[in-house]
Amino acid sequence: MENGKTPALVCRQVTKQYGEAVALNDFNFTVHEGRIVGLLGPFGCGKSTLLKMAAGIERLGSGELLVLGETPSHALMSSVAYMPDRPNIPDFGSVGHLIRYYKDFFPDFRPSVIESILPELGITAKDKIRFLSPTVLRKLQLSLTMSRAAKLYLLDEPPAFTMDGSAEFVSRVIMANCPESSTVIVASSQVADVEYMLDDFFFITYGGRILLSGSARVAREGSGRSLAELAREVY
Amino acid sequence: MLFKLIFHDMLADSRRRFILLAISLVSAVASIGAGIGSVAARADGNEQLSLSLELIPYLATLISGVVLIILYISIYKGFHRALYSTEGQLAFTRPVSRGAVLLSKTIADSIWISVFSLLNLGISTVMITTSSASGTLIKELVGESLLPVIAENTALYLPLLLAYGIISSVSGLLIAELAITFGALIPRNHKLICGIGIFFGARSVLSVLADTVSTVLTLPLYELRDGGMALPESALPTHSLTVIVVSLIVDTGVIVGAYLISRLIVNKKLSFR
Repeated sequence: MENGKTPALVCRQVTKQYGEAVALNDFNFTVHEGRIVGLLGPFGCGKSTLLKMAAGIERLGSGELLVLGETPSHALMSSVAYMPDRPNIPDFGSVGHLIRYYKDFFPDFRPSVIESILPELGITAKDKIRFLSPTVLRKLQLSLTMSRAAKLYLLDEPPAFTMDGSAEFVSRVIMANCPESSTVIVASSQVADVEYMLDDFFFITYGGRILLSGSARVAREGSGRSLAELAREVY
Repeated sequence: MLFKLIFHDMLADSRRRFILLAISLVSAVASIGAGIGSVAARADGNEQLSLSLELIPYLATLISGVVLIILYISIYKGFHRALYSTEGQLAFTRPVSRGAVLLSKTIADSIWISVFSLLNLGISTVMITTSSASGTLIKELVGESLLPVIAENTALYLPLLLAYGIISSVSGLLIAELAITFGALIPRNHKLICGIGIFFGARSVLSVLADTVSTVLTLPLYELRDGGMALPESALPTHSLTVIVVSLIVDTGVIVGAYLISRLIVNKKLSFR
């Protein structure tokens, strides 16, 4: 605990293997409440696996993983918002139905937030999901996730698209809609896209080994370089 | 919460399902209209018109059969997509237990299957009863000696046969969904063969089980005659009722068992890589 607060996420000696392949090996990691944290590293270094385990849809290999002080469970998901690295939106017909879906299942869902973002996406509640482009779908997915007033957000590769100012959109939606005391963990392989919204960062490599971590601002000021430049040096 | 889950599960594929439902309903209406017309034309002595109209219920039965096949494929695809593809990552990260997610999907699919099975049954019944060859058809389907027994006890047999039709469709659905759930644990290249194997394997085993139990229970009804076993006509009602009730019990057991095994897999084993 830090100042009597429960950390948002704690990993102690977490190990996860898929057959012979080691996704995470003896991984230790603590994320404190109220921070926007970047989990940065190449594809396949265990970022997604970690977020999935925290969201309760991937089983823990060994070690201990605590989310908001508890072991992952479905009950905890009323306080945790998870966005996977691939589109997961069901084809309910219209965007309005999708919003109702979120309203029905997530008690912390804020309809006013998504309603304010829809015009920016150029869509309305009446639009059919099957006619939306992959980029808009991905933005909608992030917007719906951030429309929740969750205590912890787990965002896997949110700026996976770098065209038409999407990275800027992603940063703005996250920073504008994340409640002050909430924690955001952003897993990304695109350091430049996310670095300016981060409070803290972790550079991790294959097997979940942490190469460098700390405050994003301190790292930038101390080195006189951006995190993206630091990443090129470290990897 | 379960109601909300079922509502959204039914909504998820409702667009395609309502199109199929519309086709089935049109077939049913056409079938009933043509059936009545055919009987009326036959009563008027217009055999040619009667025979022409008779073809429509046959065609409707064929169409509703094809619709049912498409529905099954759509349900299996929807089940896999909603629970075990990336969509499952949303379904299983709601603050709802995994068992409830599976139960609601199963109930929603069962409702769709029951509605279509009833429609299919209705269309087939119209085809059989209005056909000029209905007498022969019914005798072939039900059996000549059993026909009077059913006719005398319609109030008992009709609900039983309807229940059997629905329960047997739902049990088939749940076995298939169990096979898909097993398939979700298996590497991609073995998924299909494993699923098909489990489906047909389970169906065969259960069919043998139902037959064996029915045979054992109805054995005392048989009489030794001319060196062989024969069922006396007086035992026919008991025999047929036993067979239907045993099938109902086995299929209900299958529904419960398949759901519980699927739930166990989803709770204990399922992971999204």
